[in-house]
Amino acid sequence: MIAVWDQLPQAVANGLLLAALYAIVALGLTLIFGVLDVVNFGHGQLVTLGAYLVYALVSGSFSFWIAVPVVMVALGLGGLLMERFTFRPVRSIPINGLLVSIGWIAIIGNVISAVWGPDQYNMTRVLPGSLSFAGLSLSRSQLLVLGVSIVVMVVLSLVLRFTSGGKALRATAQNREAAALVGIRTRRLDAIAFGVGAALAALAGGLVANLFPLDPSVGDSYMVYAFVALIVGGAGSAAGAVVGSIIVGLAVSLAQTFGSTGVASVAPFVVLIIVLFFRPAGLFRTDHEATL
Amino acid sequence: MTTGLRRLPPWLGILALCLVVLLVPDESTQNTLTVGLIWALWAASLNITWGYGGQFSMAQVALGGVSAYVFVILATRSGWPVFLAIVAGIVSAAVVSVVIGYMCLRLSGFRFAIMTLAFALAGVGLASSMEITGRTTGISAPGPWPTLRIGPLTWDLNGTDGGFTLLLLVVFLLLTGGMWLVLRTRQGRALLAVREDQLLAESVGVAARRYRVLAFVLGAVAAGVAGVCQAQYYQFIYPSLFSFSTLVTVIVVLVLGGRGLLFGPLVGGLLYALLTNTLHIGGQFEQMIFGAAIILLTVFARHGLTYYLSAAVRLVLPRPPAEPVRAEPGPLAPRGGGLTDAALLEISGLTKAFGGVRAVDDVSFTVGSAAVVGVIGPNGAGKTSLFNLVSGFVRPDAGEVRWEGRAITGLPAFERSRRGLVRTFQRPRTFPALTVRENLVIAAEGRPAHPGADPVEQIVATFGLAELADRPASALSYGDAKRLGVALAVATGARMVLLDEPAAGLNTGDVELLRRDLLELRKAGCSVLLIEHHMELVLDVCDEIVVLDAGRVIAQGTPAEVSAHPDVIDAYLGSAR
Amino acid sequence: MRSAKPWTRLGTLTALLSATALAAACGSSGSGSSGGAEDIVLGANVEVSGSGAAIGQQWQRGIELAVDKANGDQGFLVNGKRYRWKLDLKDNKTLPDQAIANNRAFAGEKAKFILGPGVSTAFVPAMNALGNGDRIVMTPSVAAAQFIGKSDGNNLFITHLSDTGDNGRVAKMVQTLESNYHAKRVAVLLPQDDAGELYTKAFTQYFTAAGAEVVYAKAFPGDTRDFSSYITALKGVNPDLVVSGYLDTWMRPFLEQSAGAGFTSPVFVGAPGTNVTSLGQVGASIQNFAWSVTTRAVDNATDPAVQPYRTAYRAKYGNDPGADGFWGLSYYDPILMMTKAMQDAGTVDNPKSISDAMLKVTQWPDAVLAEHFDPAKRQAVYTPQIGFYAAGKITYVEAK
Repeated sequence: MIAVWDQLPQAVANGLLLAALYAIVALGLTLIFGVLDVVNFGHGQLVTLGAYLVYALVSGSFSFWIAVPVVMVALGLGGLLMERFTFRPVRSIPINGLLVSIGWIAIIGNVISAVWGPDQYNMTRVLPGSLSFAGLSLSRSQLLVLGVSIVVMVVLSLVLRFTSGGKALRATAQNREAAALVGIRTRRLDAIAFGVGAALAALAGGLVANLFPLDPSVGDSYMVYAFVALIVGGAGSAAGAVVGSIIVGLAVSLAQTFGSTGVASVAPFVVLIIVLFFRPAGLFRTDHEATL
Repeated sequence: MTTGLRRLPPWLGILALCLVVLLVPDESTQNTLTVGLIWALWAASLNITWGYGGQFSMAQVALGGVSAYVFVILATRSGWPVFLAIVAGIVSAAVVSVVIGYMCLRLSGFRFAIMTLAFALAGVGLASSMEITGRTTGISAPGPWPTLRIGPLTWDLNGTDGGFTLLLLVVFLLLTGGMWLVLRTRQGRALLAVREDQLLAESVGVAARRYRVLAFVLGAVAAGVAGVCQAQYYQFIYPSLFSFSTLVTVIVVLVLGGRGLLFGPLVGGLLYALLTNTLHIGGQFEQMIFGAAIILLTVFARHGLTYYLSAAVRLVLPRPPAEPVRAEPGPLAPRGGGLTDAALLEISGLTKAFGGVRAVDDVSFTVGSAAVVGVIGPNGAGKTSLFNLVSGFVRPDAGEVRWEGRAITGLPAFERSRRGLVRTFQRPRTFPALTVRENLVIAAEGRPAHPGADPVEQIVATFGLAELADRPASALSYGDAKRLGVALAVATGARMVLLDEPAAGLNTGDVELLRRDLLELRKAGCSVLLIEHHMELVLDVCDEIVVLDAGRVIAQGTPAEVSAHPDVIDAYLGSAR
Repeated sequence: MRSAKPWTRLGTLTALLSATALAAACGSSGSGSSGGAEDIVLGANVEVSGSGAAIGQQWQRGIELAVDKANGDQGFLVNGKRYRWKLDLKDNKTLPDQAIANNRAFAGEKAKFILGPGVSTAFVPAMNALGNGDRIVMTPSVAAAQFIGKSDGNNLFITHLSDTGDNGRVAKMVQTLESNYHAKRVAVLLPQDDAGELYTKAFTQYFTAAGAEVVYAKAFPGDTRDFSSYITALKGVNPDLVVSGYLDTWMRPFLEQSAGAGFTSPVFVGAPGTNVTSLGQVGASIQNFAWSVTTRAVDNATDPAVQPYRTAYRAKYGNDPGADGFWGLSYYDPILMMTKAMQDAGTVDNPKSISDAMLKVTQWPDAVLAEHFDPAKRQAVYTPQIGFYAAGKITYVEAK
């Protein structure tokens, strides 16, 4: 029991660091879902692709700090095209968006395998080593993730709140038809939301490349947990995505540190099922009246 | 000649497939067929829940896993006879699906998909960590099944001579035949109605939630069958066999073959097996190609291959025109109840607030038999919200709704519809993939049996839908769709219909038809509660008018009284005229 | 529904059409021969991609090198007739389903010789799917032991030394480690799968037998890359030796994150499957690392026994084998042994005689790893090596 209390602060810190990475992925997913009503299952593959591209640029002697923005822009543009040519045509039936994203899983995942093969790649880490603070040991590259994640949250909430584009995006997410009526170009916003979401996936990928060895499935678990975080938080709400990420991060970390193997493998899904059962729309979203 | 070909019994095709299975001795072809049939079984399960039930369940493969594990564990560890173990496996998949089905009922669309996926992932996690399921390693199946002997015939169910393949084919045909039978029943039609439009289905008296669970459970039974067959084929099961990647393949197979079509899964499964097992299409790029295929099919050809193949076959072998059923336009026959002076619908103190805004505020009025009552008011006055409360789609915060003298405030929408209180929708709702006649059949299903003319044909004739009766509702013009909406409400045999802006968007001719229909309804003893902005129509047909503003009743009375009321002129009519 | 009817009938027609197409498409396959030597199909069910890919690539190379060696220019002689191995290598993606599909395909092609899969989670179901023991199957998967003694396993050979048992890999490794480090508090952290479970049991058993206390034993899910929560828990139990692995995919981030968390004092031990590359960039901070070289280190330029393999490898692939190159020997020698066994038995299609001859093979041309098969367990017997890394130096030691 004493051991549990000793390890609790570090376990919580680990959970929050995990949450920071989930949050970046979940925010991208939320943006896409909020505006397009599409759950992009292929997001995990975008994270993996981002990680490999950042690795490729860094090993081609680019600086990590340049490689990440470059890959973000590249995948952002890719996201625009994905939206334009595959998601937009099925817009009217959201479940078809799900099918399209499942198609993208297969395509991106296999392109990665075909180009890079099964080998593991290790990027030379920026910010190696760790800091010790109040008895906690925190790796510097994970602190970087936390920092980046906070910057993303602040920038995103400022943009959504105070710029005209951000306001238009929020309006579209709330009521598409009304937004279109007041002259918002919702189609353009769809593409932008998808592009920004893909860019955030690339950012998460770059950070992953700086944390772990790369293999073709490196993004998968982030996708699954970010996804759980998104739904727990209430799909479509940025604050919900962040809170959901924290809940899932803590659940994973605490279950892994203190629970048995079985508990650890079902913990996030049990959290999801409990939350959805009591609040079908997630923690941060109230039930809308059925549109009649 | 063409008619002769058309009369080919479907069994001939099936017989041919059986012969192929039996006569092709080549092990590799046999294997391709077996793999294809197993995929077809999985896809058939998803087809029931999604293709016919309209619910995209991502737990299908995991439910099959439940069945497979129960079957294997009971047969190997508990020593149950194989047949009993199989039944127990399938039953447990069904039981688990009832539990999950009820827990997921409140969700629809993608949230339903995600919740089912969460259950599936948790189940895989559980199987990976439990001793009895062999954790991640998995467990061996009970071995070969016994050989069936019927007189001189023997059927080796595991046989390399195609016995197992034939068994799979028979199982698939039984499943498909079962589904075909279900679809011909009233319950099957209700299933399709819920798939097409849950709200409309409820409004015509279909207990939508019950049918959603039914679709989920039927799908789970099929998944259970698929799971057992998979276990028997591999002779070994392990958690990741029932995980996400298998699900993705099942989705690919169904989308490829065509969802909502009985033979879609078979075509998809055989094609998939042919492409991957035999022809090795794409080699290492296989999955990439299937990924692209799923996107292209979704974007450009969402009905799946079977649909287009059969459409092509239909071009070659056209169906002879159906014998038209003629019925004379006649009096509409609402269900009994007789013409009494007592109030049919009594509304008292009805109140509903949405986030602080009182959409409906202390509204009371009554509607008698065979009366046409108009509800008017500016946009946002709470008219549609009032309809939602009266028809049972939304629960009021306070107040009461009484119908034929009894309180119905707590009844769900489909129950109210079954008692004769039926609504239509402002944006026309139909069951788009079904024909106009099928739409009406579903609506008329709850109607008490009535001697004399077929009520559906009569409504077709009365509403002038004869020319359109065999077209899918999705092909109707806006005006026709609105007409169909009214016709659906009437077809239920309603004693009162709530019409939400039936004239909006109609041209002058259609408005005239509508006016005639409304008067016809009243003559037949059916009451009408009418939300309408078309003042000429309202003033013309209504016996009484209720004026709403900001959720409150500001005036009530005959058309003459209301149009003279100063508040009404001020708030509404003045600006409208 | 009226509309259901035409679909049913036309759907049946389409089913019929596809069945015919299927039947038509399948009938064409045959075997050929080239250059006067008759081809013998050697089916290889290999982890070319997926989570076992890093090892699978070396397996593939070991197989290719052995086939080249056995075929030579002219093929090999059995009973005066010339034969050549015709390698049919199928990727199983380290997925059980794909492994099953591959084995079913081999069975369909009537292949008499099948290699792999090597990863246990893929091997067991794939072996089950073969249905009978009429073929010679060789696999490095030690989980194959469950088939020995059953009819399925009549012609099965396990090319790796057993992990368990007092003469197994783990027992030998623990003895060697304990004589070096004298660890008292041992922690075991392995993935939640077949092999992980097996290693956890074996390490626990032999460390306990050697007088150490196992203070922590846990399994992590296979997709884990972030081990910080486990490292936190490990620090809490303060072990002086930590066993982890069993693949680079897990070992490498685990070591890196341990170093990052300042958890560097214990001896880190990689379960069979890892090698020195797992140390990555943190070699300087980890003081002691030891790993099981499952066969014999072919990156060891000073070992004369592996020189022929290194030469052939360099000629075919353009570089020297790395620290993970030893996996190639999982198949290399056994294929050459089987070729010899066919010559000894004087048959290319009687699995029983070839198996019997195989058990007697002790010498064969171009041998690298000195081994023979135990007749009862049908498992390879040889002396494995253990790699030690300390202060930047690698040494290979024959296990005790």
